[in-house]
Amino acid sequence: MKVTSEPLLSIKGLKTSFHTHDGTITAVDGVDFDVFAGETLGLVGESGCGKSVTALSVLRLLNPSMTTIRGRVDFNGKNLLDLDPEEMRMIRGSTISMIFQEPMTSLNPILTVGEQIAESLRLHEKLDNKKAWKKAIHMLEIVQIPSPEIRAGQYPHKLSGGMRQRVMIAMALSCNPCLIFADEPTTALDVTIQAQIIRLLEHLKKGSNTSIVLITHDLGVVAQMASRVVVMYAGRVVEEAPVVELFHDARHPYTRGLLKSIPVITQDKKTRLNEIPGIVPNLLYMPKGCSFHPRCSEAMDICKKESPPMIHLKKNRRVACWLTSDDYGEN
Amino acid sequence: MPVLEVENLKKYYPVRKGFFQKTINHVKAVDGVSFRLNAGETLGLVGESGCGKTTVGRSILRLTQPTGGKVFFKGKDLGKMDKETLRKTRTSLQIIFQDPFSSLNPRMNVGQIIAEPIKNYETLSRHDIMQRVAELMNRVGLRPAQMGRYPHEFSGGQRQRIGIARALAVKPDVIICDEAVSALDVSIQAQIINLLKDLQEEMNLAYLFIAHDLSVVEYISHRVAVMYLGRIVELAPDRNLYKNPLHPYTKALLSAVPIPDPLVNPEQEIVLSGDVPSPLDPPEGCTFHPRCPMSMNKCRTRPVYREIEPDHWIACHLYP
Repeated sequence: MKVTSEPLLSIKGLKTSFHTHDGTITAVDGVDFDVFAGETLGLVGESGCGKSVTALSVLRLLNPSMTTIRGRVDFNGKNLLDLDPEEMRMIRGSTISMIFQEPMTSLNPILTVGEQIAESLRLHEKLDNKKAWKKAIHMLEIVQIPSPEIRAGQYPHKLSGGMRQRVMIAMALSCNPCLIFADEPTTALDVTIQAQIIRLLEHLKKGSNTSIVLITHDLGVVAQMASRVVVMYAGRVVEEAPVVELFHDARHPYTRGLLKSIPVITQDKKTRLNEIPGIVPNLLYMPKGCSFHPRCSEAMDICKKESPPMIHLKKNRRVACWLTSDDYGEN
Repeated sequence: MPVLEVENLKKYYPVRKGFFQKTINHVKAVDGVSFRLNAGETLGLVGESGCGKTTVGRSILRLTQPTGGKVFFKGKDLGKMDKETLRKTRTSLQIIFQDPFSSLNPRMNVGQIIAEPIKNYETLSRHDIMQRVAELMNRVGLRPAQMGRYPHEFSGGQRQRIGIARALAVKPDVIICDEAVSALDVSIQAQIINLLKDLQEEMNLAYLFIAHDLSVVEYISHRVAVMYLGRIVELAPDRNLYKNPLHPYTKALLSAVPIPDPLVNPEQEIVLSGDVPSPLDPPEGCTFHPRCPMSMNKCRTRPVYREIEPDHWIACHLYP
């Protein structure tokens, strides 16, 4: 995999707030990261940490009347957050596309799957009906759906979960995007089907220079697919590292706790699982200082008072924790 | 003596069609499942969606009437019990559900939810009941002061703790955990798994742990049964099953679990092609044969489920 120094997508200080009856909730609070051409970036964290909202904000799929998005999202020399809705519509689905978690709810139940793929081809690639339909069948073939000519004419309810996810992938790939946000693409699937989809995504990636931002809570899937990982907690990035370093030399107590709390089949002895005590804070009542400190076993006085700075250890390696700050002095 | 014994359990759902609602076919959700569960033991039941694992749990408790087969609790046949005896036996057999959001009555507060089974089965004074509820809440890691709160005020993990307290309220011997930790985030999942293990040690509980996550099942179980399309294909002590799986389906299932370590290369991953066939029209013989990389002619006849080495059961023609 070649990674050029210029990022394909660069998110800077992204801040997304929702206006609710109970007050304003900041679901994403100053997130920055880059995505380079041809790489798979894992974006991990538990429910409510803001990983999906980050993707939805970048693609501007959130209702503007209820949300405020600040910061910059640079892509191809443009700030996506400044584009007017029509310009954004032309990017969405063509150069940047998205695969959603729930293939049951994100496909249109009253259109055949072929039509759903053809729709974006007519819009973005300006193909006529016949050509678009042909390409749609070809896309179904690429994602290894058996007898694509028949399947293209069927409605989503006729397809199994794994097949629907393949259709979603076919849709996402149909206009040769350079970036795909895959939001929990295998979470709703059984393990044997998950293995098929992971293989498929890897196979498709090999043949192109497409980047994938893989959003998931499943550390197993991240370990298998991603080359670099960004860990989020309560709306913020807490750690970023190349995949091997993250799994073997995690710096943030949250990342370490997360890794130790999953049961692993290859473990020889069954030791007691590590628990991260407590629960994720309510975004309405965020704790002062580091948002992880109430659950952190290594919390110090300063963690309760001030939120930790982002410490860049080296390229693609950063951590937001006071512990690291001490280790590395002025870094 | 095993605390729970299941013999050739079957549950067929009729498929009806037409004006007279004639039964035209059956979905064989559970098709001849047998196993034993010992006191203080955890038996894991794994399989993919639609393999019938949940139906096994529900048929044991007679939340759905099984079509055939027997279930013995401490040697007594649940199917032959009269209503009152069955009702009383139910105190010993409890269940924890997957979805902590829909399995708690939103109109009852936590105290009422946990007290309900106690009131159903025992005659205790109000004060005694409340005391018992408080003890249970303490035990599962909830503050008794939260007794007056309603389910929606709790997080997913806390709701699962409420479900556990409710199951424990009548001092059961067996708890069926139906995907009890599947809906939870990993950090919370670890909390609940540890709690279940502690409770087991303390009260000598037996768990039938139904789940689709193999790493979780391996971690918590003493023995594991693998189901495919309504049948158990392999049952073995956990270490044995994971180190030396014999059935091709078990092998494929295990190799498909992504290992959370980028340095570990998935050794000879077996990627199965195709989907699980519809249980409406399952393949003849061994139901796994159309997807099986090792399938032979013989596989068109149903393999016998038998013990091929001590405590290792398998249904496969590869092992004569």
